Amino acid sequence: MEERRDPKPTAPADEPRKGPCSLARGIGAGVAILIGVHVLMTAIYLGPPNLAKLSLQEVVAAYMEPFFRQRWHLFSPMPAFDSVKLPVRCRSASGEWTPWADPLEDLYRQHYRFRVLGHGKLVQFYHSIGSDLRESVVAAQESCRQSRAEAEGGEMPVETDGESAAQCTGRDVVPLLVSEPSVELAQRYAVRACRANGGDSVVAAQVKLLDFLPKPFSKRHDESAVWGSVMEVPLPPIEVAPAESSTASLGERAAGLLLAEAAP
Amino acid sequence: MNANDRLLEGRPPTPVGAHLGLATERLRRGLDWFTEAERSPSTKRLFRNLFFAWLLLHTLLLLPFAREIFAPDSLVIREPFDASSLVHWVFRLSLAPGFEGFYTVFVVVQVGLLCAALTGVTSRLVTLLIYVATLNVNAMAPSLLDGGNNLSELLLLYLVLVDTSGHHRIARTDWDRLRIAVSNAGLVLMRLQVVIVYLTAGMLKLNGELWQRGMALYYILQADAFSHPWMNEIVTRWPWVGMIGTYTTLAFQWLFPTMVWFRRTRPWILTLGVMLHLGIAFGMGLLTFGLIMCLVYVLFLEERTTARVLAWLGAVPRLEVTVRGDARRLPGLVAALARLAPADSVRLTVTADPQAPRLLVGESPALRRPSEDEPVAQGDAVPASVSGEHRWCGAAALLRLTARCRWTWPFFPLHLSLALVWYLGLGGRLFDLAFPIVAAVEDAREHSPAAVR
Repeated sequence: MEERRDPKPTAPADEPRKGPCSLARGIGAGVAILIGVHVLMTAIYLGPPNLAKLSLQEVVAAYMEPFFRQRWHLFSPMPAFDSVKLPVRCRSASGEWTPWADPLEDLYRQHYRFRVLGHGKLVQFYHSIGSDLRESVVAAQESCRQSRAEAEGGEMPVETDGESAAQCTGRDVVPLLVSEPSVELAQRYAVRACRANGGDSVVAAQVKLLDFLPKPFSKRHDESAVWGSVMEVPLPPIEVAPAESSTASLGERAAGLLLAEAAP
Repeated sequence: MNANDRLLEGRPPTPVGAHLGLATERLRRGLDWFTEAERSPSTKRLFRNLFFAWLLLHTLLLLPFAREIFAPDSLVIREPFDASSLVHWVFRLSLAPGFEGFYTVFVVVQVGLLCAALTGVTSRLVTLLIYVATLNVNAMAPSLLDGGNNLSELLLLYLVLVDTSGHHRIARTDWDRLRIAVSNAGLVLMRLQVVIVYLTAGMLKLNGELWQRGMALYYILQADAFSHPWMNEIVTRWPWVGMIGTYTTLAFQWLFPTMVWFRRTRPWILTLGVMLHLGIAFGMGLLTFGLIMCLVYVLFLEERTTARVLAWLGAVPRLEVTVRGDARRLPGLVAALARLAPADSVRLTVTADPQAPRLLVGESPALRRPSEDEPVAQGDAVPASVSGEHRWCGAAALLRLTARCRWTWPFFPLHLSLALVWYLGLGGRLFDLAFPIVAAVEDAREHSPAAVR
């Protein structure tokens, strides 16, 4: 049996209208839709490559990149756990090289001592010089291995226990890196440290990349080694132009250390 | 006829109709949530203040190394300036040829704007200017930027949308509704952004082998840039600490996006987050990152909690100031200080009474938070215009008034020196020398120990 449908009850004309009007709801809906679109764009931008991302890549990048850039790796998926150092040595006019010394040693000491000051940010600042250089070296090693494999007509060798790394060591790839901005930056860093150390008497500077990997967890109690492995990549020495100014306070910090090391 | 109508008529709705009706009603309520009233105004205001304080701290920490970090010849690879891009002309102006040498100007402008905002000069325009200045400062040192800086840039942009005045506004017109909706949308976007951070980081971590095996913290704390010798020692000696830390981090990042939305679970997840990020700030040495992640939790606090915090922070008693007109230089100085104080927080009266002390400051009990155990300083011969539980005369009064002026806070060492001078008992003598009475006999009561507190 079909129900009899009553007409909808309507509010009396003189009764004040309750709740917001349709325009207000329209505003609310508009704002909600904009938020939804923004979240959707963010999800596509941050998501793994899929059909949606591939087809909307350009639109999403154009929307997100200028102002909504999102980098949330935060030590994932593979956390950075190597310690990168950039020891520097300087050559004076007499032709003698000072011993290798790390200009940032004092900065690290201060960072460990004063956790609430800005030393942590400065460590981050200089650490990036080393880590950028390491990335360039690793990328050059990869390309070196690939080109060698192609030259031999074979496939890329499977990396086992550093076997393939031995074919393209850091030293091998240095000549390929001369024009890299990270190399230029590391060399400027060396020049500054030497400038502050020896002033105008310094004629050349050299920096090397030391990348320390920690001991594997299973060998953490092994006293025979401090580190799991160390990659050493010395960059070619660079001449220090006499006219170049020496104003870096980084060098000032390095000065005492380097002078002390250089003293007989 | 929808399900609600059927319910009104006393007839049971069909299951589909009931659910549809419920969904429609919730959608309506959701849309009205945006437009009806300003949501969580105290939360917005408290977050703004703490966030600006963090931005200021971030830049102040870098100031001693500004030359090293921001100078044109600093050791950093900067983004090339695109002269054809308007975005670059506004947000990367510090990289423009000819502007690189003025890095100090950008830093000073950012610090100045933040100080102004923290002392009460706030509006969406000020927030926008802070955003522009911050992006210009950040562009000069890209290698310094971590997840905390990325989050701060995004939150600043969303904060431009938000009304942070702290007023409880109710929409009366459509224009009000639009403004309120935009402001509420800003709050929602900020909250969602925090959730997105954890969701993304949590998902990425699950793909990492070291995270899966509970070894991530052990390895991270071996890196000298993200560790401390003590932390290194702890995870090497007690490996289970590293394992628990790794899995706790994973669990936290996975649970946060859900648990933070429910009132019962929110305090637990926020407490865990604060502990985790304080560990990152001090254990790993990522101070600014750890602090901003703790700070964003304010966005999820309930309105009554943030209102209470704001009331506690802002409970400043009004100062009733009486100054003698015949004291040399003193009326002008006091009037200038009163102008620098926050609005309505100082009431100034100039008196010609020769019996009155040269300067007398009293706290108005009306604005004071009630406290039963506070001592009450009694003084005699107090002019009628000054009343209150606490009174100060002479140098002590001047010190009290100076401390009230927010604009003088950058001169904190001066405050400290004045306080020291007063503490050593030299204040009265110096005050006499600086502000002598022009042509009248000074009131002896000014130096009475009972009157000076």
